[in-house]
Amino acid sequence: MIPIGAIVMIGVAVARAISNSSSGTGGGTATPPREISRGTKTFANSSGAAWTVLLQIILFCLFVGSVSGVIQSPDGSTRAATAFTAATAAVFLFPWFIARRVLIPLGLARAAFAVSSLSRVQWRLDKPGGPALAAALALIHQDKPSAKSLAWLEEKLHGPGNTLHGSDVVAMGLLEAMRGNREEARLFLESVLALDVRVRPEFVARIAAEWLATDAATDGQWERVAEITDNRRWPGSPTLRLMSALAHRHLGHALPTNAGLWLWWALAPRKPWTLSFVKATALLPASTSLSNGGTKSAPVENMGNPLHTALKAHLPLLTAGTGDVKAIAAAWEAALTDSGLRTHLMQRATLNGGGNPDDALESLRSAVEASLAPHAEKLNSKSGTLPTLLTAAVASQREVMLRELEDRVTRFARRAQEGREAPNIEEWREFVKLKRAYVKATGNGTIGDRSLAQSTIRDKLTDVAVWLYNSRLQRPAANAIFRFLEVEALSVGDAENERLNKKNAACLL
Amino acid sequence: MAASLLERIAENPFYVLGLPVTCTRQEVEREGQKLLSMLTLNLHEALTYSTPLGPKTRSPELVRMAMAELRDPAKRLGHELFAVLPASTAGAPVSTASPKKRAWAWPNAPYAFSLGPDRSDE
Repeated sequence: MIPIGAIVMIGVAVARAISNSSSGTGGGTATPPREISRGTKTFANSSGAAWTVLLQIILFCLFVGSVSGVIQSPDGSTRAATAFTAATAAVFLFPWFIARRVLIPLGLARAAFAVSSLSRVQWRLDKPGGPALAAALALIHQDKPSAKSLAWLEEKLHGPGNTLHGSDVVAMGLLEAMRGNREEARLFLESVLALDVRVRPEFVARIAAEWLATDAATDGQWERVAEITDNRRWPGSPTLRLMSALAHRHLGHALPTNAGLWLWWALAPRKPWTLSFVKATALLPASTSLSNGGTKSAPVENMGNPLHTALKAHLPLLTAGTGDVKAIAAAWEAALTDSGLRTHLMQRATLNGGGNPDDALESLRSAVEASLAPHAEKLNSKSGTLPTLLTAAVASQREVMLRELEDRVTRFARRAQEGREAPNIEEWREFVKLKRAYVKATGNGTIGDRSLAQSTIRDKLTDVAVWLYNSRLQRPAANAIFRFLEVEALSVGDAENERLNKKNAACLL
Repeated sequence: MAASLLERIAENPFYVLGLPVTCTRQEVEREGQKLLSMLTLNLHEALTYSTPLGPKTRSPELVRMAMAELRDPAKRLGHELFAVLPASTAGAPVSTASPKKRAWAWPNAPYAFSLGPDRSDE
């Protein structure tokens, strides 16, 4: 019997030893433990690729030899031994195929992780991110993954020694989704696009896009589904094309026709599971929107009492987030400036034996402003002149968001300065949350608002990115930050910062 | 007591106690004590109260807090402003999602593509 396991182990050890000695810098310079960021080179030019190819050839020969041995061997025990050899060689030869086609659908998370870890082609440069993603996909196939399994996966993602890649980010997003934290899951999965294309394989980005699209469909947000599936930055897939077709039908668009819809269904996977919904969608008349679109609502009803009118108009906005924000704000302005209301409050204060009408009105104004501010943000860019109440609400909201942004970036920069390290995936979480705070603070704002926010984060975030690059060797994450800063500098005309971040972003990934 | 506009309406002391804004202090005390007794006995009619936002759950803590708020004339004046809509309009509670949205949501979409758990029985 051929000692397959021993041969493979020796082969791997020899290849690794040669690879390590050839990648040294020489001249007595000590090589940092993780100088090369995994997955940041192409398969062909990275050190060790030749050994991988050689090993694959050896394993392939072994596999073919074993299979032919199984066929030709007359003896039962020899046949069993060669069959075992063939199966072992197959696991080493096609680990990702076996994990993806067998272990993940069976929900065997730990086995998927272990077998994916053997991958010398798909995940050779991305461990444990790739195997962790395989484990996350396997856990998704379980009806109710146990808390223990989820904690195990989190431990893998928090483990030391890995450089953050797209696979880690997607695995963490799926983990958050399994824990029911859909908002965090969206945050992680959307953030995959911020990473350089060289560290987020198409397969990884596709999983993120498919999850985001199906998640939006869960709530009937077909505009968002269409936005994701039509975004060219995400890779395409039969699933995404079917989701796109469904979204456009639900949005009442003329295309696709029923024939088109059924074609995309036929090309998509898991047909039995999607059939009933596609059938129901195909019954929708074309060009008739049935989605939950827009914020159109009935005009504000004048009920004689301005306060009564304003409150009544505000109710749908409070409960369902729908309503004409400008009209509601105008109704509130009428109520808050109504002399009759002030007189009424004075009378009530006298009858109650105390109370200040001005304080009561100010409290009402503050509550209304705080309630309108998030909706007013959306109106700002397209609605021209806003009522005074809304302008004040927007200004106060923006101020709050800028403070939050400043707090976040200061905390992040201080931690970097003090060298307090968090797990790589948590550093990424910090960055994507900071980025979201930035987008919220600048969204629909003027160039002045954007410039203010950019100047708030510019220097501190650059320092953080430099720390991630030099000290943490988290080059892909640092690169994402540099590119984000470069784009923002460009958008506000900060030529110096743009040049700096462009230069930083060009550093070795 | 409550911070946001939504909370100021939903947890308004007048709605919690089921009293009009013109009620007297004696009525506040009487109604508060009555509701606390009913809640102690777990009487069904005391467990919820009407608001313009729909029915809400009433608890002894909420009742006590409402009574305390209405004892202070300054706070009471503020609460009166948020209680101008009759609670009876709560007959038609405002949904958090439009019927169209609910009708065409696809709750099992992630499961259909092996990206989430089966929610067909939810």
